[in-house]
Amino acid sequence: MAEATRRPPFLTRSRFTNSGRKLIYLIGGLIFALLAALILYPSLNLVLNSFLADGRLSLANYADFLTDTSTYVVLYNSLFVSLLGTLGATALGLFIAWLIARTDVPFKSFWRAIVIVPYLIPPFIGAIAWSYLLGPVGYINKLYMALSGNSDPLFVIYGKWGIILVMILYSYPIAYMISLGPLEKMNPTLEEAGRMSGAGILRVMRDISIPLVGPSIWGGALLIFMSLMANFGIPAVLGFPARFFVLTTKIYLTILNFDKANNLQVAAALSMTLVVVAVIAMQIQRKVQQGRSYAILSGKESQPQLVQLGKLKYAALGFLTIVFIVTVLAPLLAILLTSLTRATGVPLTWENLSLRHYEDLIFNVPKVRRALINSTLLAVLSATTIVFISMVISYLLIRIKIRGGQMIETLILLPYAIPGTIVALAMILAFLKPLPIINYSLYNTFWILYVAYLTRFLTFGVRSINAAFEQLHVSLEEAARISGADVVTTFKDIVVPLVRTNVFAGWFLAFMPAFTELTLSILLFSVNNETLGVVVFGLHQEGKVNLTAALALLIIIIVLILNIVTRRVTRGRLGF
Amino acid sequence: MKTMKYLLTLSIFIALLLAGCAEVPVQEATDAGEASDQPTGTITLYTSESEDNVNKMVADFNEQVPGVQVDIFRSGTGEVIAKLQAEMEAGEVQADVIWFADIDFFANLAAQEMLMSYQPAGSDIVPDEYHYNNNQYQEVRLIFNVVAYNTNLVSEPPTSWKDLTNPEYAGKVGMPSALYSGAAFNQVGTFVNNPEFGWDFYDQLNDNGIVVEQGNGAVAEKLATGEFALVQVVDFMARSKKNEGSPVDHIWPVEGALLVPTPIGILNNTDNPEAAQAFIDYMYTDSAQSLFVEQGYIGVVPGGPIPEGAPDLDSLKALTVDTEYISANRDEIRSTFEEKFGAPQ
Repeated sequence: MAEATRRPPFLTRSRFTNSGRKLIYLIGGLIFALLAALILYPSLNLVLNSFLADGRLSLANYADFLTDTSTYVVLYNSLFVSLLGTLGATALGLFIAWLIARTDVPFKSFWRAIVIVPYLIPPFIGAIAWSYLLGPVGYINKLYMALSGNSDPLFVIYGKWGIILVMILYSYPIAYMISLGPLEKMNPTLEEAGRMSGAGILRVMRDISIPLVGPSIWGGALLIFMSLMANFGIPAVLGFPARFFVLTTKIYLTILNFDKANNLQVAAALSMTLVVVAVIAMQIQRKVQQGRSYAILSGKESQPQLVQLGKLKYAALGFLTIVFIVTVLAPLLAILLTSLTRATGVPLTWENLSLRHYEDLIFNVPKVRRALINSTLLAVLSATTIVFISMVISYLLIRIKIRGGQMIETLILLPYAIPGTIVALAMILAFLKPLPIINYSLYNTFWILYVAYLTRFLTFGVRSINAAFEQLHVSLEEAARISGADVVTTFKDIVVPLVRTNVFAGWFLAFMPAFTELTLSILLFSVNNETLGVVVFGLHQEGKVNLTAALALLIIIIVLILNIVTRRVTRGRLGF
Repeated sequence: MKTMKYLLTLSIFIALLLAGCAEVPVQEATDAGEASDQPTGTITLYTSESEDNVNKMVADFNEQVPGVQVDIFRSGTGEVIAKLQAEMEAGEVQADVIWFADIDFFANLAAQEMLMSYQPAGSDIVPDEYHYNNNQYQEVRLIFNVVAYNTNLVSEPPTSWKDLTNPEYAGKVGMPSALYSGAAFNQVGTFVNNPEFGWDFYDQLNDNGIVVEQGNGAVAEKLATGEFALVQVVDFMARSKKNEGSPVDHIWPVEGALLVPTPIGILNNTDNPEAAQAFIDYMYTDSAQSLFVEQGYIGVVPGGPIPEGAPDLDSLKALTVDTEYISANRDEIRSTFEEKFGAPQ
């Protein structure tokens, strides 16, 4: 690096002594170099590769997929399932949030705890569970066939409608969580006015409550849309058997098709379609958040009067119960039963129940043990690194207000905003060949997974700690500085303790998705470096139904316990 | 200090988790005489073999050769080859031993001088036709593609490959994908050049609503659950499902079952040739051959045991893989198959 040939580009205030400024300059430079190596370089390299055919600059890869009619089919499929999934999830999440925040539906605290649970179940495991329920010979279909005497199943979950259904069931909590806060803080007099003017409950909800929380809903819907466009697990589990493909699964297959010339480069070009969609969605979200303020919301801590449901109370209760059964109880039961069935195809009787698959899992499938260790290590290591890097980045962004902060924030958001399949592809393209100088290839190692997780979930840490700095007044740090503390001491003794809660929040937010990660891992894992997601998916693809179910249940239990422990210990500040 | 407590709890939990599952690699203290002439270290095996079968195989191998750790990458033949090719591009192949159902790809590797010529101990009584290319790769047991059926759903057993086109079972027939499974790829490559079948046969399968699963494992599993009534699948899986008590049986089609070569070979660049060779030697031991039979395979050593429910090979017709056609038309077979069965709808 060219040292101090120019003025430090990101220092705008002269609050610091010379040595302090140099230190910040150094740390900032190191962080930026890290971001450049791990995010900027793979991104630019991906774009470059999309224009490379046989090592020469060309538009051949674009021509390849643009002239292939199946590209348009998968693009349409992606948009179709994501849009309908978003619509359904937003409507469901919003309705549940409204019931809980604004009505007098009974057992609220119970529902508050329950409706979040689907968010904790990895979507691909949800999809696998639903294939046990509504596959051609799933429990529900078998029950239906037995009761009706019909030999055709009621509804087969494979294909687009099944994908949409499962997408709705496992993403509605996002809409719920985002709209719950605003709904609770909403000025109740508006609703009361509506009721007094003779409007029905649903009308009040539709015409008053919902429009008032509009901006949040839009933000949530976009978030859901982006996550569904990027989702790999659900269309992989439920789409492959019906030969129904979306962009992520098509890119995945293209990456694996080494018989095709320039397959990685064609996949890179194909990825650009998803990047464009993701960037547009990011821009819309920014516009929505900037353009509309929450001015209609009342800031005062009023205890809003709740909508009296009257007799509809029972309907609401029934509805929430059904949601609970459909999203949590039935899939878990299906997984449990499947994991306990002695062999596939045998009728469900007491004699046919056995624990042999759990025994198999623990003793006969060594990669399960390896995956448990790997996923734990990866999640702990990446989450820990993330919060350390984030503390420095946030300090530079919010406190020092370095120049180019906006750009750095965008750079950090990028690996999360674009689909994981593409992040993995970028990692392969960037790190397949041995690194220059040290002549070491990250590909096929534990570290490529670590790097991929690090970049993908970094935004959780930065956003979480940014929020802490934004809330804390700078005067505390200034007091320390005036009393003679240097930058390091100020950071260590004042800043770190004050942002600790958010540091843990950021750690938890990064740890949870990393622990059950599938999309990146499936393309980046290697022998001895399997992750839990990879092993579940592999067992499922191999047709080891009972074994898959046993491991899936184990993962769900671990995740739920982690969450409960976290909630208990932090008294509800962390966890869902 | 709630947060500290939280951190502590979580660390303890994680520590317990790790302690619970970390297998401490205790090197068994064997007597010096035995240990000195046995190889040690680690080898990596890339295979399309059923994961649970190969795990048991490795466990049995370790009874005889305890010092060698075998790390396994398992996926469909298509993905195993994809991984190998990616590694070749990266300049470093991680595998020491490879074992999957694409003999044409083995021939490619041999042509690039990437395979080691090695005659495993005890393999001299195995017929020459199962040693390929000057012992660069060989057969350790035999697998056949057959027609299998769900005994609850099919009352009259099928007899021919063409039964898969029977409209009575429309939508309830299945087969593995030629893009993923090596056995399926060989089947397609052989059948499309056979005047009795051709791509027409595959169009008829398509008309009959055949469901294309990724691998044989998924096909066998779904046959057992009753999702499929009739399938093309590898014989040992049908046998092992039947032996587990699932309602599955298989037949030897009148046209012949396809013998699918599934060779095993050692890569030249292995850094532990002794361990790799010991692993392949093991494959021809009585212990390994019996284990194969237990898992439903037909062994390759003459006079060895025969799996329960296996037919008498001498009296039955076996088709051989059309390697010449496959070698010349590799890409076209794949792309036509993808057009017909893999294309997005």
